[in-house]
Amino acid sequence: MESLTLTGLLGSATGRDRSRLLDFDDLESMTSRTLEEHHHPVATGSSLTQVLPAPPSTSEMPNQRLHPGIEAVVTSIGILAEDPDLREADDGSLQQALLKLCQGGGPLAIAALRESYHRGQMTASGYREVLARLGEIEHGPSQEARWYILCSGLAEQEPVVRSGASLGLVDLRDERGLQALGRAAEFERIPLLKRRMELALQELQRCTQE
Amino acid sequence: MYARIVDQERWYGTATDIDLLPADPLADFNTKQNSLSLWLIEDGGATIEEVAVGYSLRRQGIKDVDVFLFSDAIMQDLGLTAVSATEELPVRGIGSQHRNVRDLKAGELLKLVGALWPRKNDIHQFQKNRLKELAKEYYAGGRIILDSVHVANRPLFG
Repeated sequence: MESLTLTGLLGSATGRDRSRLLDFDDLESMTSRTLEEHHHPVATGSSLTQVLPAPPSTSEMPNQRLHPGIEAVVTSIGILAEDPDLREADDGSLQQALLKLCQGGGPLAIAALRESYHRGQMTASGYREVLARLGEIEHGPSQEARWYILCSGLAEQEPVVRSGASLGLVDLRDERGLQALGRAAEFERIPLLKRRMELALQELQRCTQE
Repeated sequence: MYARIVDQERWYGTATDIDLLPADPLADFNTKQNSLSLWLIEDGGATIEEVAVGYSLRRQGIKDVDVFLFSDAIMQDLGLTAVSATEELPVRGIGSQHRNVRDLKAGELLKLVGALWPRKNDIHQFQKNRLKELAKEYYAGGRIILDSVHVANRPLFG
């Protein structure tokens, strides 16, 4: 069994300011633990901290707890994402809730979406919907945190989550997603999903070249 | 060939025994009044791209679309017959290619999905941006029926 770290999936952090790279211990340990538990041989690599986006400042994470209002938004996002009727109606309510979270919660709040999924408060289908929509949000300050959570989604055990992360990365239009998608497609074992990732990669290449 | 819009994520399973197939693919073959809706894809008729574009324009918000394309032989092997049943999609000229399999029984539907399951890797995938491009091409060629396009998608055509 290959070792399971997100770094391999994302590649090396060449050309990036290492001083800005992550010291976001909770998130890193959670990611590594999750990958190891799932034994999903998505990638090989060394350290997760080499490639992750800048951490939120300590002032943004008092005692590592979310403001109750933000917790409520995370909860509402889970409810919206789980509702098949709302998903089908696609009335924009989930995107609005995600935008509110990005604007008001900072990186920790975005990471809380992932934690909510890992704690079983959101199903794989719901989290898939969240990731697929996160890329659509137009909010520059949260780009790094969204890039992070989408890349980590490519390494999740549930295929539908990986699928949602692929869709989200296309809409995020961050060229760093090229490497992540390329690696994920390379290691993906489900042919249909591999094809989705390859198409997502092609589309992202096209978008980032425009 | 016949085409049916599906959701590829429902087909990710690895089971091979028909009794152990996941149930979700059945949701991609839901029926109304025991009729299964299909699109006939043939030379000189509707194309799989036209069906995908037409379907996506009818829904709120253009999303990726997956299309299962399968041969007439599968239908014949199961004794299933598809009859003409015109349905309007926003792409002009393909409505007559719509077909219905009528009086379908639950067991027949299960057998159909079971026969398609091993061929699931043939599901065609259309990304939303590609669908938008195609829709604009069809529009420029006068092939889009705007009244049939979901109101949320009409800004695509200016």
